[in-house]
Amino acid sequence: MNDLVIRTDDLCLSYKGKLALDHLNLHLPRGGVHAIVGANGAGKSTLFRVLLGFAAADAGSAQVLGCDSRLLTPALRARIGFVNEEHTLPGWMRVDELATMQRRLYPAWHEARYREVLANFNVGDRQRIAELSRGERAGVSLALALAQGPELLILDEPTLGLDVVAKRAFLEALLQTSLGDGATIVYCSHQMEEIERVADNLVILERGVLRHMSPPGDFCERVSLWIADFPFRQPDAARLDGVLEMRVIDGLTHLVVFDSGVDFGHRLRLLGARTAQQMPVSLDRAVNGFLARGHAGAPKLSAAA
Amino acid sequence: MKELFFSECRRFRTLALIAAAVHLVFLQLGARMADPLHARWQVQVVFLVISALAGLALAVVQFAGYRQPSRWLWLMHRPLPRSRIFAALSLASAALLVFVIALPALLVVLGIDHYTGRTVDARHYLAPLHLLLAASSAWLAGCYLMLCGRRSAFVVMFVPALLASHRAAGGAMLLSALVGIVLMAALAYSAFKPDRSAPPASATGKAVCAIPLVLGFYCLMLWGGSAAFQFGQMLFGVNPLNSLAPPAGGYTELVRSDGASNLRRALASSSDPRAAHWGRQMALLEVGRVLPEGDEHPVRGAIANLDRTQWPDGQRRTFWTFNQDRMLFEGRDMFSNAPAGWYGQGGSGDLRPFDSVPLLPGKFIMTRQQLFLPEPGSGCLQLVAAVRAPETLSGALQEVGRQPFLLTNQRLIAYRRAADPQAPLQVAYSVPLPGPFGDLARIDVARLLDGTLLSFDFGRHMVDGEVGSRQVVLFVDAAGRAQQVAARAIEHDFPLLFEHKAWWLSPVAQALADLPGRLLDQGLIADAAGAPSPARPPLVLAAGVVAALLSAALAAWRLRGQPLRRRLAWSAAALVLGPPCVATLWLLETRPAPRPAASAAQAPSLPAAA
Repeated sequence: MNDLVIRTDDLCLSYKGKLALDHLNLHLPRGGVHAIVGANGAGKSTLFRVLLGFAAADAGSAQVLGCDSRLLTPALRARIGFVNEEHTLPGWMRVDELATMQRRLYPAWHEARYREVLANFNVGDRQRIAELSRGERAGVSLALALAQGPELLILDEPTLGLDVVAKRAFLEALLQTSLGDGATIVYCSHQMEEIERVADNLVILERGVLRHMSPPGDFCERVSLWIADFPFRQPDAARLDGVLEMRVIDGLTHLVVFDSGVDFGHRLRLLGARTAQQMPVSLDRAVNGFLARGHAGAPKLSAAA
Repeated sequence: MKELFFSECRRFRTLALIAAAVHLVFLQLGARMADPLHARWQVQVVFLVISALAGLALAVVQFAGYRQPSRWLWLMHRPLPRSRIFAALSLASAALLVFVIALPALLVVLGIDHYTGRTVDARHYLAPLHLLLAASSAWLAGCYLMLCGRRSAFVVMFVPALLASHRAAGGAMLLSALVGIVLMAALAYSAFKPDRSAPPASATGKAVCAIPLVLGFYCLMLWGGSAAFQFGQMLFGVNPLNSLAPPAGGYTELVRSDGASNLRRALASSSDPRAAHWGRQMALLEVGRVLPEGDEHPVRGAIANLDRTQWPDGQRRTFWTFNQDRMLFEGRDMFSNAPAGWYGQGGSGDLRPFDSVPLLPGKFIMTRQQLFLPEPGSGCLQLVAAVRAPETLSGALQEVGRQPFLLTNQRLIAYRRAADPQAPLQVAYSVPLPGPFGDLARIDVARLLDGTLLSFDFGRHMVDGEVGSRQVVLFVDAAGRAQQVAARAIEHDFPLLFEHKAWWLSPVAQALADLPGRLLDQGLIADAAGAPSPARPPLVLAAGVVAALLSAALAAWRLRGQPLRRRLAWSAAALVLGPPCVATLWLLETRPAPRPAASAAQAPSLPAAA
């Protein structure tokens, strides 16, 4: 049995000359929840399209559940669930009709799980899909995907556009449902609080390149916030190794730093800092700082307020 | 698959119910106001086009939704082979089209047959099937257009049109339509896969897709190029058909001139000593003309009617409609619609069937070999003229100076009128056509004191690449002996390459496009067997070779950097099929993106991937 659910090697794909995936080497082990984060255009959705065989790579290889993604068989597709941000379902069908259709298609259909997940949402069997709210549609979509009993479930920004209540219901349904042993969830989202709640492994993509992969806690531990007080001239601390982001707030210099040790404080003092304090950061801040470096819309360090 | 089928049917059930009701009302109204089963093909084709548009519209609505990336993923990412997903959607669409198109049409035909007393043949029951096949072909073409994501793919629409544009027997046309369905289904299936932009994986798949595309691009290049060239000529004021003064000595001048001018022009180059005298006489003579009235006869069993199939007999208050099942005219009383018997070769009440489906030129009834004239008072049918197969009549009697002429595909027959108008016509003389019937534009007839001058004006198909068209003048003396007195070659109005465009563009594609026409019996009046046509001009042959070589070179250039085998295969195909194949290559083979450089310039130099 292959220990990797997803494996890409040197995977490249470009759209009209722009690289969406740039020699991506991603090896996701079986089991757990892998969260993929990245700014818009980082290549997350493109990666899923390649993995499911809906786009052909220009170079490199991609494997899902040990199979070349270009050659996914119907049996293999039965083992992969996919929920997208739009929760695309046939609007002309009733919920029960849709469930019946899926039940016949998927040999590992788990009726109890379907009912259990659907119970989190206020959805009636006789309701037409087109009549459901976005949150209810998300619930049906999740219920159908989980009931398929997938070995690999890909959730591409599933809570996008949902209100707080629907988002909470969605996450609770996801967390309460126990998939089979070895089942893997790949969860793509911009919502760091969700990632913090669900993810066992954090994958950061940036412009089609894998930037980081580790458990979220480990990642947070490696990112810290330094607050320094420079009484005289503000030094160009942004040039120091590991600085992700620098801002000056109320005369104090805030630096988000990756892989900094106690040494970093010494360096700040050498640059003239009267005080230098290290503080932990939230996952949201850490990821934002991490991505801010490469993001087109990021403010320049020197211009930070 | 079954669930997907029912899901798709469910999706369109309301729309289908409304569309079927509207279609039924529209057809019923059409049947009440006119008689579409016996209308000319120009009217009938409207129903075919509407059915095809309905099929196309269904595909557009259906796949406008599915082609969105997320919906496409929902449809295709399931534990079903794509063939079964495609089959489910196709069958669901076919079921919808049966309900919306075929069923109302069948109900209307049944209604006409059982409740109106109008003539309904067995062939008419094939009409709903034809409408269904037209709609299905258009649905498949629409499916491909929507999914392949390339606008230029619209050319595939030409293929079902090419296959349907014949007036052959209904059964044969069903086969032709089925060929179209198979081609379109293969094409649609090639785009029906998760990665829609990817070309067909196998060589066979590519070949199957390429056939309709090559044919489609051939039609586009041929007709589009022809129209563009002619519009360009018009802009510069040099189009022969659009000029006030056509080019001298050409076909346009020939058909625009009166008969006397044509004869004078030909006689001017004659070496016959009498030519100058005849030329002077022309101003005093009344020069008439005999025209080929048609190129074809109706085919038994054809659903589309070449001409009207009904004629009124006012004196007997009967409306006669031709019944192809019995090959007799079926009568209905004009005022009471009561049955009024049958009308055969001998007239009213005679049950001897006609030997072929007749045409009704003027007051005559004409089959392929016989020309009849109904006698109004007696109800009898008088045989006016008859020829032996394979000689075929091309029209009814045409009079020039009270002398009747009959034109067949082999000769021009002149008759002598007897003193008794009821007496049969006597052949005065007959002259073999000095060229192919299909190329004949008209015959100018000048009656002299000692004979008749006949000018056979050919060149009708010059614009389509007919070679060696001439104007030939014969003198027929009082004893009926014909002698050629002048002949001149017709000048080309258009450039040679324009006239032969259909051939040099792609001889193989032309043969393919013409194949249905050659295989199907459309009742065309064949040319008499004679000398073979002259060979194509060297310039045209050279153009064909250059087009093929350029196409092969272009294909090789387009696929530079690709595996040698693929390059060679496409280049060889382009060499054989010419420019349409290169256009197909452009559409089918997406150029691979240049291999990305190693990721050296990747943004932050900061943290290495952990």
